[in-house]
Amino acid sequence: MIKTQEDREDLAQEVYLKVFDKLASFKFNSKLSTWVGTITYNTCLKFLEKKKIPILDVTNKEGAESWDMLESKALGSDYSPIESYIFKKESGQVLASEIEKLPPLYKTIITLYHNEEMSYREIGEITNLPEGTLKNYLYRARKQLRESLLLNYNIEDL
Amino acid sequence: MKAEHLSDHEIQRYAFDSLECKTDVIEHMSSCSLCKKRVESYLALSNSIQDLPEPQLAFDLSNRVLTQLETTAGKRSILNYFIYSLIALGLVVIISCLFYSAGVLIDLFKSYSGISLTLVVSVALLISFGITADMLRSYNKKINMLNY
Repeated sequence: MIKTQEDREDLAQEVYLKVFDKLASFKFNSKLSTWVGTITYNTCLKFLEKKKIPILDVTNKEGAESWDMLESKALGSDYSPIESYIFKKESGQVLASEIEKLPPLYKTIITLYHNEEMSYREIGEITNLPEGTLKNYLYRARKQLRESLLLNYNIEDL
Repeated sequence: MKAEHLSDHEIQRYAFDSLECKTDVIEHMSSCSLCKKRVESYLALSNSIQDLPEPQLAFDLSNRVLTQLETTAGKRSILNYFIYSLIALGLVVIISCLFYSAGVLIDLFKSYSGISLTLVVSVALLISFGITADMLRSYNKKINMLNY
């Protein structure tokens, strides 16, 4: 959620101090990791709000159209499947950098769902989002990630 | 069965929430190679995200947090002393009451017949077992919650 390393360090420290201070108020209604996740998420939200950084950008329609064009071109071509090239392990660096470019909320839910392998319910508890909204955001986040991956590659090189 | 290709939303639902898919979507998927490729593509993306290394902090977080905690430890110890003093005071009051009313309590038990005394003790023991069992259940639940 947080771009700069310095801010990440400060926030990580702040989160752990908050957890220590509020530990007595943990009601055992959820997993400890989910509770810590909620504190982390809210701390980051406050930070972003203070810095006036939006957690979600409006989707670019133009980008979606160009994606459809690129996708049909790539999937319909005789070249190897796009995933074998773009999503292969060697291009992890590129993938990480594209995830980094996503809006903070998209980056958070993508990481929690795919990296941390949390359920919709757990992510919902952390982000305070209803399951339906969360799924929609996750669909849009994945779509945006794929779009940006494809648009930043020269499709003719595939 | 759906004649046209599936939307991106339906493709993702099939890839990640297949139980929520409608029958016509599942039927379409069984015969459309283009949509299958799109699903595979999303699954490949998901696997690649999973394979990304865990982010690492470039500094010793525990050291920094512990240093900060030491500065607040003084304030906490005063609060702890206050709590322990209250507990000690409570214990003194309870022991004094028992000490001064010991005679009355002994007389009370002596006045009961054997059967009623057994009944009182049995009920007290049952309640104690119930409370202990509940405390154990609650403790196990909490430990499971902590086990993340």
